[in-house]
Amino acid sequence: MDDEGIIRLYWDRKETAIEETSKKYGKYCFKIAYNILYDNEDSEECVNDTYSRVWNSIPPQKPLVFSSFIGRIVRNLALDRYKRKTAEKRGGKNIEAVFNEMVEITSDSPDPEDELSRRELAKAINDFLSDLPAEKRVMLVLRYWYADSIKTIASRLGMSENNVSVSIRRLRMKLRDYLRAKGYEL
Amino acid sequence: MKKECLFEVFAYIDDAFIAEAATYRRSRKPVTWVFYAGIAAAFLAVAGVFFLVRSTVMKTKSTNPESGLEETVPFVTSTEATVAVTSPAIVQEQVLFAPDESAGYCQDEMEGASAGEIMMPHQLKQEIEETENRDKYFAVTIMVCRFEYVDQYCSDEDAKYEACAKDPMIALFNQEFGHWLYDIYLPQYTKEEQWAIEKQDDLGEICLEEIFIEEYWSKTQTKETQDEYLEAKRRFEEIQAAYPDSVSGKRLIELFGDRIKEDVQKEMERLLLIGYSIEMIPLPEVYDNEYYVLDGQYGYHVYNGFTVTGYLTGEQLSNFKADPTHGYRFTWNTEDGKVDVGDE
Repeated sequence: MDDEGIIRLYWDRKETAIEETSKKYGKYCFKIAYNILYDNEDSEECVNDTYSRVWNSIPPQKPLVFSSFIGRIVRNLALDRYKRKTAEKRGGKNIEAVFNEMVEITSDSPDPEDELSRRELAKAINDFLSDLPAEKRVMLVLRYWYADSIKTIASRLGMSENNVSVSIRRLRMKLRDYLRAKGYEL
Repeated sequence: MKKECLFEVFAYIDDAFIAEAATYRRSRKPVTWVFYAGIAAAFLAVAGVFFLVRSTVMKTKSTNPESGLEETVPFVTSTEATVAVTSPAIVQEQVLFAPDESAGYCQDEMEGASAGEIMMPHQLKQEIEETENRDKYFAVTIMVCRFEYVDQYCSDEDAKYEACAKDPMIALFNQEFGHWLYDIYLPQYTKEEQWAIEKQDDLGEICLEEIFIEEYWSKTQTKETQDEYLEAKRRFEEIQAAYPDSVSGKRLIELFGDRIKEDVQKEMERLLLIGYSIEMIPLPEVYDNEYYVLDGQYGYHVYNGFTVTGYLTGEQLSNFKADPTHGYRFTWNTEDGKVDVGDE
């Protein structure tokens, strides 16, 4: 079923909407959750929570790109769950590597508190991404949105792990400089 | 800002970028591992042929005159039935199917199983453990992955490539280039200008490497070093140009096609002799023939091996007898014949 059809089912409040979502995006969501949580059971629960969150969001929402919409929900839920797990000292090791790379971009300045500031910062990141050649943009999004491992990205793009690792490092530095030039002291 | 917070901010990037990354494929083929292509082909094959296979296995029951029990004579290979194996009758009611497509799929990274490895979907394993009657049949598809000699050859070619790329002269050049670019050249400009310069270089409008050679390398290195570098670069470019052909599907088929056919036949016979009720899946209508060793209606992927489908008991699955030179990636089929094998 195409995405439009699935969204229509949600608007018609038909429970098959969840079934169809699970069929088409179950694995996609699981992978996003698993990259962050590194645990089968937690990831499965997270994906189930995602379905109910989508059910409660549509209507009123009518997402333009359903895959990104649902991906964003599962990513946020997984991250929340990850924070709880970390508090309980049972965090996922995969995401730690991604976070540690981000230390190179961030500093001691305070976190942007309101959603508006976060969205503004995201807009600057969007501008940065839109200026990149497609392959480099994909590399950054796979690493920092999907939290894919370097190995997975390398295999996906047909490159060596070393090549990917060096390219991503260089892109991180570029992003840091770009954001600083735009006045963002992270 | 905390690192976790920046990761959260990434959540807000454009939908288009998220979707692009999910479906992006590099324009040139990956040179060492094309699992995705094989998976896509396997998916087409499995989806299209599963019903056929199912009905074949179900219908080839005969009655054993001695025991009076129904028996199934499984299919062998394309080179005629050289092995006749009988196994207990499979009654449809005894067959357990995956509750849905995603339950039947190995939910992990999209990679084939390594030599000797058995990859099984989490829910299938759980179901086998929970099923009291270990004689119950599970409808499965198995990707018999990898041919060790193909892997070895590709890894040797990779090693040659890497050795050339790590030539000390090339390393020196790269190190000096980095030093010149970040410590000398770019700092002359503002951050915005630096960004523009790097972008021009990305787009091929300027060549920073040429500027480096003219302005810095030629003036700081002896003639001897420069010549040594040029020689190392020539060697590297030569191997770079030859590398894609040396590991292309065409070359691998030339080198290993016959051996792969023999190997598949041997492995298929081994699996059937053990008593597994399986059948090989014929080539799909659409496939990337660059990577397939063709054998009648069948085709074996040079990297990814071949795919079989059929019915194995819980006991057979728990104690699956793997050959140490192959990897086995299981998928648990749904009743309507659909198999969810991955992103493709």
